[in-house]
Amino acid sequence: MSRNSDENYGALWLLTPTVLLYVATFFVPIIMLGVLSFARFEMSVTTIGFYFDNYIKIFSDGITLKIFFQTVRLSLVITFWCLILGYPVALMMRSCSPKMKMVLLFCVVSPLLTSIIVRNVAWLLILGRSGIINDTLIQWGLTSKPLPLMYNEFGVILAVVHVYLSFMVLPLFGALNSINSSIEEAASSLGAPSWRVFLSITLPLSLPGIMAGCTLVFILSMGVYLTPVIMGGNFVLTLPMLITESVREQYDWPFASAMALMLLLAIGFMVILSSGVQKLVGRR
Amino acid sequence: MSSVELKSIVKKYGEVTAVASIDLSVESGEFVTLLGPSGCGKTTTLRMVAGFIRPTSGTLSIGDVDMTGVPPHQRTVGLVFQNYALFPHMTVRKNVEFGLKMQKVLTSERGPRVQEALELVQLEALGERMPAELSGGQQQRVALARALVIRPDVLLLDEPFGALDKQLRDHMRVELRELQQKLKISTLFVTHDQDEALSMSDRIVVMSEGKVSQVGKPTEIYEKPQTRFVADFIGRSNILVGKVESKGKTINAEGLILPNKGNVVAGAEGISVMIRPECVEITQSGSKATSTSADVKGKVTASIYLGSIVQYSVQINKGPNLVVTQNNTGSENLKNLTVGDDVDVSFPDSAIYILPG
Repeated sequence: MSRNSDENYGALWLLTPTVLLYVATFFVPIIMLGVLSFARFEMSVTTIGFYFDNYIKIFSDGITLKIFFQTVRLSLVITFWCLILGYPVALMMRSCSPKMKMVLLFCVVSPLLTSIIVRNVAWLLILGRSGIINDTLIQWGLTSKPLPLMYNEFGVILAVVHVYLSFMVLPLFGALNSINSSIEEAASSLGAPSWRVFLSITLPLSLPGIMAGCTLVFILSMGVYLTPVIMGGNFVLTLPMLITESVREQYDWPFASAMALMLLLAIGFMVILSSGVQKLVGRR
Repeated sequence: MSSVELKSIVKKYGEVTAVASIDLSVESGEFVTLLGPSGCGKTTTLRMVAGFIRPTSGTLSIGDVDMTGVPPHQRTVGLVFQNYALFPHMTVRKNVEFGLKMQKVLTSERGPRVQEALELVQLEALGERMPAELSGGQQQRVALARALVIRPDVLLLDEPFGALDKQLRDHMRVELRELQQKLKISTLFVTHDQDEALSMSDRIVVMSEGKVSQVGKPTEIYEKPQTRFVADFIGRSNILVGKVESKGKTINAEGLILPNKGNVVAGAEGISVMIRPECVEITQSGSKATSTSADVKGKVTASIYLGSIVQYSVQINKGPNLVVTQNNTGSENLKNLTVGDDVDVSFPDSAIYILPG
């Protein structure tokens, strides 16, 4: 027994590099963010202290709060579409042959393997004013002037859903795959048509995967920066853009810190909410 | 009226034949077992009855209605799986109620029927538990109640005791058989365990490589196997190959001279003779006089102690090696037999069974 715990102690030392890395790159910056968010920024001079200036500004400047809620809304919409598009893919992956499964998996993950610039240039070629879609529509005479497919919310949502779909599909697939298919067969032998089997058995049993996927996609969407910048072309503003601008254009680190903390809190709130929902449903 | 009837049912997966033309019927209230080694097509057959697999050809009827192409949810079958397959997110009561809900049974009627089904399997006190809070045996009972509550035309059991330990399995075996006889429900049972098949069935269908080897009552299957496969698969057996000699009076089975009681034609060769190990008696040479027909001498070459029985390997003088089992009655004679001992071997005429064909 004692020997065993000695060995465990030894193994703990192997964690040291990771722990140090976390402390240096995660905990320290977060504490710094916290401290900075209460600092005062006047005439390009930062004064460390305990001021609520930045938080008051967030709630009173009329634009930051609006963009914050816009970011939350966009992230929820992106999460929703990832779920709607990802669930059938995960279902399909579960039931198809191992070979087909690999093909699907590759397709789902492929956006992650492509450089963000290449990906967005590709979207430009497809969705732009003289992109493939608009060119074709005009040539066929279906529309006289190009449809606004990018530099708007549609373009941002489409491009972000495309990248983050894999973060939805993988946990969904994991959850679906762990359902023993004889449970579904039992339901259908008891008289449940396939849609009923899905609603009563498959869907509730895949809930952990749904929650995991949604949480993951939501967190990532709240922080996504480059894709909305390219696809939204300044017409779609999100909180990460505001934070970047505050730091890069105005050198206002305290205000940027306050906004970053707000983003962090919103994400934390969502994580707690989703695990609460899961516990509630699990107990039922 | 037969509950289930399969007529020349074939199932092929590409080039592979899983089930090759099976005819089978389960009469009303009958307990029929599909018995065979893994890969013999017994589970495929059961799944075709349930509707999960569509036969390549042939017809299948349940309750005298053609069901060949009907999807599972439109058949009234009760299915019990080896892994129980309970709905893990529903209470025991909700599990049992599910089928009634699907059948659109009135809410007021559901409660009593669920209660009745739970009482049937002695689980009325555990209705509000979740499946994960139950033992394996209890879970299997819930699965049984869930299958029975819809009053199915036929109960299908796919190795239902496979995941239970031996004691519980033996207990559930008796319980299930009693329940089946009480409800007079037609049952199709799939197993690879011959003890289960022999102890529970009205009829056994022995399957091998997608074909039916033999259909019969448990006694017929054990005592009068029709093929060498059945003789080998069910119980322990000595199978000797022999030819008829002495103008048809005796059979020479690998050196062992046996009376030709099956009256096989004189001159016939390649006859399979089966002698069950428990029918053979061995005693230490010269210990007592024996008065049975085939008195021969042999030598013990191996002895395996199995608790209730002891299994010996006996090399017959100028003859074959026979497997012999003796009940462990604690008799001195049995205890004194060791490897290398000379023994008198005897068995009654009735122990000699000549396999047809």
